[in-house]
Amino acid sequence: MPEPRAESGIRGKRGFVLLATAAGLVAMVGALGLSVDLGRLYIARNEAQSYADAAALAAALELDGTSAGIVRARDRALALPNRWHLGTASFTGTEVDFATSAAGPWLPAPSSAVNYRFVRVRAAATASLYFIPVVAGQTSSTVRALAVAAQVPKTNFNEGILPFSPMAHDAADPNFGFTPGQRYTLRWGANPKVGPNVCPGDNHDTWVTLAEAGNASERGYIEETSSAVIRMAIEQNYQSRPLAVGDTVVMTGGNKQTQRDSLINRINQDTDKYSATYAEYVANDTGNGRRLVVVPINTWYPEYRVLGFAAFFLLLPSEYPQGGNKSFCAEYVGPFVQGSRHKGAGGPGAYVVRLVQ
Amino acid sequence: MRRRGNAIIEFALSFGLLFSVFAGVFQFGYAFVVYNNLQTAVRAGARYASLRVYDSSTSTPSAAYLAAVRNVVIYGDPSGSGPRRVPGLTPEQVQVTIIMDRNVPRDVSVAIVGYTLDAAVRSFTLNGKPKATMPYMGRFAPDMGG
Repeated sequence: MPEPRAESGIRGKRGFVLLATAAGLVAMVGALGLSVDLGRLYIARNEAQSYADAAALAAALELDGTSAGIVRARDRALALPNRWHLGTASFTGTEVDFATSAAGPWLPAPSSAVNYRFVRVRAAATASLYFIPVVAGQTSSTVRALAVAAQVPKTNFNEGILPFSPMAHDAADPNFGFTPGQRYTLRWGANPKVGPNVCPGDNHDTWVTLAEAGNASERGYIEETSSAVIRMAIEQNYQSRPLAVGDTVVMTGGNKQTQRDSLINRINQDTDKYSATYAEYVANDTGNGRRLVVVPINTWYPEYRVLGFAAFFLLLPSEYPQGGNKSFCAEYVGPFVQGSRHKGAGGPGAYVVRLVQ
Repeated sequence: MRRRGNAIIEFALSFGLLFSVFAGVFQFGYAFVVYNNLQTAVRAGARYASLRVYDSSTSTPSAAYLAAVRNVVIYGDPSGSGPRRVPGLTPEQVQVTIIMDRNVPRDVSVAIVGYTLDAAVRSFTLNGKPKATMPYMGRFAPDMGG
């Protein structure tokens, strides 16, 4: 009787290696499937997220409260060259929507673009599966990514502002009492009087008197007097110290000729140095945004407290003549967006494009 | 004796098979992990590059800009401190491309070139990928012409 038991045990051992190999093989193929298919899906998801983030940021930079801005934003998002499938395939079917707040509602083509400063990009990629179908029957899987970018308010600058600070006309008004399209003073001329030597928007007794209230060195440039720093500040947006809403600006005279030369250099950095107004600049659409600058707006004498930041448009080079009795003027545009070549889509103030989701 | 021989042959065959599959799992798994790390690194580099001051008037970035972006990709830090994120990645293997539009930077791309991904059983050389592109949003500080 023990012999038959032994025979039975041997038969069992004979099949064990085969069974163990088969089981191990199934487990290993499963692991290979996880490694290959899930690994590819994980990478595809990262690629899709990277694309969605970049596309949303690029689109948000283009929004300016106009329908043309919406079209530009969509085109920019779809033109981003980021790819998936280990960097070999372009994204298709990307959806771009716009909203006035992060909560939506989201519209692909809003009828009015005013205040539409949020962009949502939804990207998807469908990857074929090689090993998972063996066990799950699913032959492909779609990974999705979503990103929301927006022009968000910015109340302090460590760098990027032009070193002039116009006088607010109305501290309670979101536009600081300015009218978009009107020209205001970046730097006052010597002994300002109502007349042709004062910028049109400030050409009134109220503002000229207020300008005269400070001494001559307090009518213009903020912070620095060194010519080298003035040049860097105007031509490269260098700042010697951070500036935030509520801070006090330090008005200084600065070398007027240096400022004038640097302003002209700054204008010449733009690919459109011929448009006389911002409206013309937008219509021509050949500029690169270098003439669109951001400045702090202050309460003027005696506090010189920063109320906010605003976009101004630098005029034609011929509008900045030599001579100490001429003012430096610029056109008030409204909302400024850091890094954009257009004005912002929201209300007056300064904005920066950030991912919000 | 015959039974013992059978077991050895079966073991040899199954071990060879299992080892091959295991090696494949390891190879793909390791390659994907490294690729994913590279992808994360180039994305971080592109994001950093999109916000850093661009102090050149042309599409050729300054040495300082290039070094800082490469350091972010390799170490996750612009100053180049800390451990490498991906083994063996050198600065020359991080390609930084500035896309200018109307004389100002519009996009910045960061890609890996000439990096050999050693997956133990086989090597792959990555050229131009992974790659990440971001819109440029930083401060443009062009040369002032002396």
